[in-house]
Amino acid sequence: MSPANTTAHATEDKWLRWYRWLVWAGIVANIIVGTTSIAFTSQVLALAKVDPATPLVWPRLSAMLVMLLGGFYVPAAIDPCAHRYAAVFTVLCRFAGTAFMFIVGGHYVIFGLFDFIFGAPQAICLYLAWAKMKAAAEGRSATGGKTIATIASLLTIGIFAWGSYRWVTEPIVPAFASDEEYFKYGSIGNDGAAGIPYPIWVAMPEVCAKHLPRPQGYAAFGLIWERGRNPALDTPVGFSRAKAGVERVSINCAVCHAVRARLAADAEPQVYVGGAANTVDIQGYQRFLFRCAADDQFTADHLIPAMEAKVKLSWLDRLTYRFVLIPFVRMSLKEQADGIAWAERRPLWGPGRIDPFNPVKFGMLGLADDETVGNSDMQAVWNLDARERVRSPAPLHWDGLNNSIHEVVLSSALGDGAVARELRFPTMTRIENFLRALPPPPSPHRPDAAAVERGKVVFAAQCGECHAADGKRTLTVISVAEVGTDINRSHMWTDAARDAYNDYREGYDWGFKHFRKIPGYVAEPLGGLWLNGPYLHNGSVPTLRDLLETADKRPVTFIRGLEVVDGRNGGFIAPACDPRQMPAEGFCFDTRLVGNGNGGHLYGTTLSSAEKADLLAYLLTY
Amino acid sequence: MTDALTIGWTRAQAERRRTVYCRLLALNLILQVVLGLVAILVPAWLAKTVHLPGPPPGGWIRLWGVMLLIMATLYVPGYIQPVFVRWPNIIGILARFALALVYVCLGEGFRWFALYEVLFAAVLAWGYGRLLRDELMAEP
Repeated sequence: MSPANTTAHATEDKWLRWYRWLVWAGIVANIIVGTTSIAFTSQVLALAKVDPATPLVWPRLSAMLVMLLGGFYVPAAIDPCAHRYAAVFTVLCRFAGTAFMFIVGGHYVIFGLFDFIFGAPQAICLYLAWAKMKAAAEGRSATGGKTIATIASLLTIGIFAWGSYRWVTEPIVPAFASDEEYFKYGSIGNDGAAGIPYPIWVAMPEVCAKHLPRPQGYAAFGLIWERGRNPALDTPVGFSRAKAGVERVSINCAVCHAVRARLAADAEPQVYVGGAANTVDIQGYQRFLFRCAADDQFTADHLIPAMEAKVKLSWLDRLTYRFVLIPFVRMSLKEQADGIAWAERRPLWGPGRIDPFNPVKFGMLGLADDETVGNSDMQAVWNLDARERVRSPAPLHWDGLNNSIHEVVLSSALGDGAVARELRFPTMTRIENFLRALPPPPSPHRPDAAAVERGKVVFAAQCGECHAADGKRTLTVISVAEVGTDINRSHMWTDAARDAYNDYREGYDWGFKHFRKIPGYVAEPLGGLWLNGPYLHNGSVPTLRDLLETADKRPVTFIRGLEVVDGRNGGFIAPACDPRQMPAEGFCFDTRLVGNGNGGHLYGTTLSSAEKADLLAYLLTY
Repeated sequence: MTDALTIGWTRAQAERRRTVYCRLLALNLILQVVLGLVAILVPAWLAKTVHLPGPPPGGWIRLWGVMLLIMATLYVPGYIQPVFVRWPNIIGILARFALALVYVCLGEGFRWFALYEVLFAAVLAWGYGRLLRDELMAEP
């Protein structure tokens, strides 16, 4: 044997030996993981952070198959030269497992990484061994193999690091037994993409107190805490906490669709899920976050002590927050602020209002700023199935820009920052089903029964065509020319926006096809009317009584965001105000600003005072 | 001398056994691949059709399908050279018996798969045993 052959043979043995050891190690690992998973199924699933499986027979069956697969690897472990097919298939099957788990995504990538950690080194060793053998057989030294193996090794490390990162940062969404609890506090798939690490979020009101409109922490933005939840530590209704790398706080549907109301000034506030949020100033909240992130105080030196006052941090947490998370959150919030800077050139939304689609148009859909103002009242989302029974498909949103409940739920989550990678379709279906069956709370008002009966007749004659459950035009889009209300919200939704949303494919083929453009506003049925004030699509008329007056007699300015129900006039208590002065509570709404016009919808305004009183009595029962 | 005592006849007999075994195994692997693909592509339909237990856990059914495909792939060397590469065939037959047992324990719709596995395990065990015996007999 020549010296060259001796060297080649020794090298061949070394790589083959490594390959065989790695295959044996894989077999042993398969058996250990398989038996452990069968014996401690729930614990293994929890450790891997994958969703709990019901029934457990499925993960147990998979564990059994993992062990059996290990048996097929044995020929390759014994003699990969004699069993070349087995040696190659052993590697290929590890990669197939990796690929499948990466396609499944979520926390399941951990199982893919398990296969990858054995498959990739096995492939490299096998390649090197066979390259050496081939070179030796041809009487030359193999040099190119090592270069390829080095590249493959680096690639392996990169893929493993990327997979591990995905696994670590994939959100862990708390389970909720009740659909209502999920609606109020569950994740909609925006935690990693738009969430703020909880310790930072909880410390921001302390560090940036000067940017709060009132010294009440996040409560200054009218956010809703239920009884038993601590405003200093717990998230309010409409905010989820889910772990995406670290625990993060994000908004969900309920931030705009839960209403807090008191039946009297001294009564306990009640939360009515599904109603239009009347107190929540979502723009104020956003502006606070952006201003805080831009503040000199938004540094680790200021934030970490405030965080530690509320959350226990390890030394590793402190390091991570100091050098990674705080700078990252600061940068991310500044980017978000830049993305919505256009809103600063429009009238403020104020409590209970939002421009829901311009952020989507100029951000998600990438359309140019068209100077439109889409400010509108938040909407109740009760009885979606009942709406379908009135008219199917029933138009949704103020201007009926979509008539598919499924698409509206999904697109609303996207508008709130959900991304394909994090969004879980079963949770969207859960929310959708919950809202389909959620009834509005009955009116607590008890007006004079005789007046109600008379008002019913007036309603049928004056309003029933558009607002009665069996009205000919109920849940149809009434043209702006006819209804006469502020045109801006309708004008905001353009043909270009419709087309862009129907074509939206970011991260996933969402399959939207029901976005449309009809100039006008939807004639809504009456359910939950007592909690829907202020009225009209832009919330520009404070009470039902005012709505029965012509525009020149409706309040020009009034306070929005108060939560005491007005049992006499309908809606919420809304005293007059001066826009130049910030009221002690709420927000001074000025109907003279763009998009805030209180004109139009003059139906019933020509009735006599007695008829108006009767009609109002009837309306108060809804 | 009868035909049964000639090398040529025993060789031909072994070849026939090999053909029969390979056809049986091919049928089994094709069925396994089809089942695996169905599990991956239409997990909910499969779960409903054969009454698999619990609410259809799509991800786990797909994983099951992938494992069936992987197992079929690892069987291929044993199919190509059934006499020389004995291990996949032996472990494959034992695995089928083990799976049949597991499927019986899992109950509900899995019992159909238990029946399928145990039938093929028995037929393949018989075919493979005859093949090995006849191969030995064909050795000079």
